[in-house]
Amino acid sequence: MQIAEVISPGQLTTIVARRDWSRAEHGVTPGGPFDVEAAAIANRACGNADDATLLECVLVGPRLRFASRTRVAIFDGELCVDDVDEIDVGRLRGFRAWIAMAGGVDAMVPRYAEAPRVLRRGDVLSGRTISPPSVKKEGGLIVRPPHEEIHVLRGPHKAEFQTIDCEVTAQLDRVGIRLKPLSELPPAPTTLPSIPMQFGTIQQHADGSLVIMGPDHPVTGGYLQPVTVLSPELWKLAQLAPGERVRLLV
Amino acid sequence: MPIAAAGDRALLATFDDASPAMLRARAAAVRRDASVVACVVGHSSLLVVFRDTPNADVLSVDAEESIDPPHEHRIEVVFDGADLGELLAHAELTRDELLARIDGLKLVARYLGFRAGFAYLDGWPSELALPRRATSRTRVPRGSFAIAGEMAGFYPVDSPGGWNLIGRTDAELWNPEREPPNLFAPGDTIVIHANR
Repeated sequence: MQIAEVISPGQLTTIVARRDWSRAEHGVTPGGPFDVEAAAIANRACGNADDATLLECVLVGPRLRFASRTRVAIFDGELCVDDVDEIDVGRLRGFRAWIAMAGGVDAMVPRYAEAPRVLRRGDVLSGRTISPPSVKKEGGLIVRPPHEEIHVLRGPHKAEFQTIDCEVTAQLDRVGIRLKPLSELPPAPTTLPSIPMQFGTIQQHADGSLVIMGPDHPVTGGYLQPVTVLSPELWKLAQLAPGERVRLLV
Repeated sequence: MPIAAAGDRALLATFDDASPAMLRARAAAVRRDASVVACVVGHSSLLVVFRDTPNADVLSVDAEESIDPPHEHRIEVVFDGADLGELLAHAELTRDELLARIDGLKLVARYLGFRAGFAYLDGWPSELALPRRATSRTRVPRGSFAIAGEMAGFYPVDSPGGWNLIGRTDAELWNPEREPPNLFAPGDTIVIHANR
C-alpha cells in the first residue's frame, strides 16, 4: 500500500531495515541502522517495533507527502513526534537522523545493501498504515555524551596500537569511515588472509589510514584489524562528520 | 584453534588446517546456538557474533560436512585488464603464453565477502601471483577478473578495489532479482576459458 510520496529526497536518504546476517554467506552485508538506539527511539514514538524499517538521512532530511494523516517521529538528537499530512525535515541537528512512520515502511526490494540506492524525487514509499496509539508520546531533547571520543578494544589481530587522535575524512558512507591518523602508526602488513568483519571493525590500511566499518561493511576484509569499537559506542559512528577530530581510546 | 576477541560482542577463531568445506559446516553448526547472532566464514577463520557476552564454548560443536553438490561454472574471460602488463612483466611471459597457461584453469570458491557476491577463488598459480595493490582504485567495473596473492576473484558489481585487474567477463555474477543473487556459491568450481 502506498503511504507517502517523496517530494524532495534530502541529501542522502535511505530506507534501512533491521540488521540481517542471513545472507552473509552470499557476501551480502547485514546493513541495519547506523544508530540502532536512535532508530528504536523514533520507532517506539510511533508505536512501531524497535527494529521496524524506517528512513535514515544525512545532513538534510526529505520532504514527504503522506496519503493520509500519519504519525511520524524524527530523531536527530531531539525527538519530534506529530500526526502530519506532509513533513519537510530540512537541515538536521546532527549528521544523521532517523524518520519513523506508524506502521513502518516496506524494506527496499532489492535491499539497499544488494543494490545501493538512495531515495529520489517522485519515489513512492509503501508500507502498512496502523492507527497510532491515541496518547501521543512527548518529544524533546535526548542528551547523549559527545561523540568525539570512541572506546575501542584491542583485536582481533595482534598489533601495536595506542590511543590515537584522527581526523575524519570526506571518504565516509554507510560502508565505512576513513580516518587520517594525526600521528604515525606502526607499519601494517599488506597481505593477510581475509577475515570476517562487523559494524565497528577498524582496519589499518597499507597507506596508514584507518577505516571504521559502518553497517553496510563488506563481510570480509584482508587488512589488519588492530582494534574494534565497543558495542555501546557504535552510535557515535553515525555522527562523525568530515573534518571533525576524533580520539580512539584503547 | 586460537580465539581472539573482536570487540565485546564477537570472537574470531582461526584454524590453520581446516578445509573450506569444514569451516562452512562448523559455521552452520555454530549458528544453531541460541546465543549466536551470526557466524561468518573467512579465509581460515570464523567470526562468531553473539547477542550478549561471547562464549567460546559454542565453537566446540560437532560439525558434519555438507553434502550439497557444488556447481561447476565455465567462465569466459577476456584478458585485457589494466594490470595485465604488470603481470606479464612479473611472470616474464607473453600474453599468448599466459593464456595457454591458464586456459582451462580450475578455481574453487572458498568463501564470499568483500562485496555482495564476491567469491574468493583458490587455485591461482603461485608463479603468477601479484600482491594486492598498495592503493585501491576507487572504481573497478563489474565483471573484472582480478588477482591478489594466490587468490583470484571477479568483481560482481562496480566497487572500489585493490586487486590487480587482468581481465573481464560478461557472465552475470550478481543479479538481485535472482535467487540466490550470486552466481558462485562457496565450494563451486570455476573453469577459466581464456577468450582470444
